[in-house]
Amino acid sequence: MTYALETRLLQRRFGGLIATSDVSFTLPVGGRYALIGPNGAGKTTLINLLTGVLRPSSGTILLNGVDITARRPDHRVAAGLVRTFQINQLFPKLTPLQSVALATARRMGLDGALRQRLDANQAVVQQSMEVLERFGLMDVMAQPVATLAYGRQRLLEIALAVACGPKVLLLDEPAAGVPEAEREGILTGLAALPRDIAVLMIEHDMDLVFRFAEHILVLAAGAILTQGSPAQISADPKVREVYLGHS
Amino acid sequence: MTYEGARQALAAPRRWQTMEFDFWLAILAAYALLPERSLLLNETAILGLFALSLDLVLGIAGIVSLGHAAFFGLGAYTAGLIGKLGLTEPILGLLIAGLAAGALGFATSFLVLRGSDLTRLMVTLSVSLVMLELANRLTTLTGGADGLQGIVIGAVLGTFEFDMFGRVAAAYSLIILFLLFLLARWLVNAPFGLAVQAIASNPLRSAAIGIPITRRLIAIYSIAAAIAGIAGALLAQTTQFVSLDVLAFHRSAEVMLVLVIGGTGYLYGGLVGAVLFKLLQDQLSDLTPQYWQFWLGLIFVALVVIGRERVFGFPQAVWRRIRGGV
Repeated sequence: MTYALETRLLQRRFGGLIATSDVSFTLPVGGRYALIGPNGAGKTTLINLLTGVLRPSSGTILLNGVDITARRPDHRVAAGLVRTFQINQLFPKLTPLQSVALATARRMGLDGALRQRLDANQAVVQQSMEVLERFGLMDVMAQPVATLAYGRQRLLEIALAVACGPKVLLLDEPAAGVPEAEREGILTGLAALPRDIAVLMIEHDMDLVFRFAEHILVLAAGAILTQGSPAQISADPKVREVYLGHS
Repeated sequence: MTYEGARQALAAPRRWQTMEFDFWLAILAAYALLPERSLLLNETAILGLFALSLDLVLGIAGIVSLGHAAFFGLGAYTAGLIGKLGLTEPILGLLIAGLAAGALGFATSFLVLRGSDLTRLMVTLSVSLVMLELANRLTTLTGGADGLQGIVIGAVLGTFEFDMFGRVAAAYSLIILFLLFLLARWLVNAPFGLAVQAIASNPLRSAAIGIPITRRLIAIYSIAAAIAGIAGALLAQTTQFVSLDVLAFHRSAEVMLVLVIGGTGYLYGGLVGAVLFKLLQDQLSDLTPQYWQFWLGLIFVALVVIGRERVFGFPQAVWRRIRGGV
């Protein structure tokens, strides 16, 4: 069976420190997975390995069955592996519409075009609007991103990634910094993700994880400690130990 | 919002504003009504074109440069040399000078694009210093410290002979400025330009949505270098003389000052800055031939302290009111 994303014995050493230790997991097509773990468990390193910012010391990464371990970050994006960021990484002076249209244009190979105009391209406009609509950003689509409320910016963070046409979406703490009152908006946005996209969410907020994920991977000290359904994970004494520090 | 609303919102940045028409009409009026100021107008057009080129690099692509004169100077020497060697057609000269400067921009972009802002300042500065020293040493080619003399430039399009009052020169430079401004505006409003602006705004995210950052920046840097080269070529052709001064550090610094005065990132900044700079320079050097640079410096420091928005905001508001009242 081909998985949307698969890692085999992924390892990354920084000098003597093993930040990622023999991580093997599979993410099925359309899966809703979460990756949790205490601070320093190696979540950020793992994301950087998956997106290609870091090269693994050993092991392989497969995207839809294709080995992408040696591919450049932008080639991975083109192949359908897209991430969001824990701290908003947006284009403050552009509008949400321009941002999403640019990502859409990039997906169609038009981001270097000179003679085209994005507004004249029906597919770009149509598909940009669909993405904005999905995340409830239509009413603010023509305002500079910098003027948007934080919660809306957080949604745009995800919308931008979705506009890239991902097959696998890595969500890095989508609810980071979002006030309690705006949490529901984020959850609604996550529920609106197209079903054919496989999602791996890295999150600290357990409430969000248990409501979103159908399968949870627990990372501790760079290695996968355990994995299973939310019910299994919440009942697992090993997980409690890691999180609550019981010995 | 509807499909049509979205389409129009996307098209908005490339629609021509009233202020833009006013600006170009004012330039046209200056040319028509002030024939005795043609030489100044020519210098202003060349400085404006040079600053426009820096705006593509600094304002649009977010690449800091302290050595933009390298391209200006190479363009000037190239145009001068081919004029001296007998290829006197000015427009062909501009094209060759632009190609030469663009090639230098392409070659040095690989050095410039690696590293941080500080590295970029160092590298751009170094490239221009190397070019200056080369021009100084290759005396058989450049005339060294004596300058490149004996440049012959033919009539524009075989019809318009350069005159001693600078009427043809000013018209020629202004038309080239306008055409290259249109080109820059067209580039910036293309998907390519949007991608470059996104890279300047957030390179991390641009990479994360799959934009090939290095390739886009190399392209814009080379294009801007070519435009700077054409600005230099205009100077060589209209003055029929090239000296080491075209590659000097103060030229890189001056064009940066001009652009910052006018404002970066909206393409008119370099032009507005050039007009302001040249007008002040002209007036002040009339008033105090020896100390004009002191007053110029003082005014610019004041401009920075008071804030550009407050200085330009008032006349802009008045102008809008006048236009609005008509």
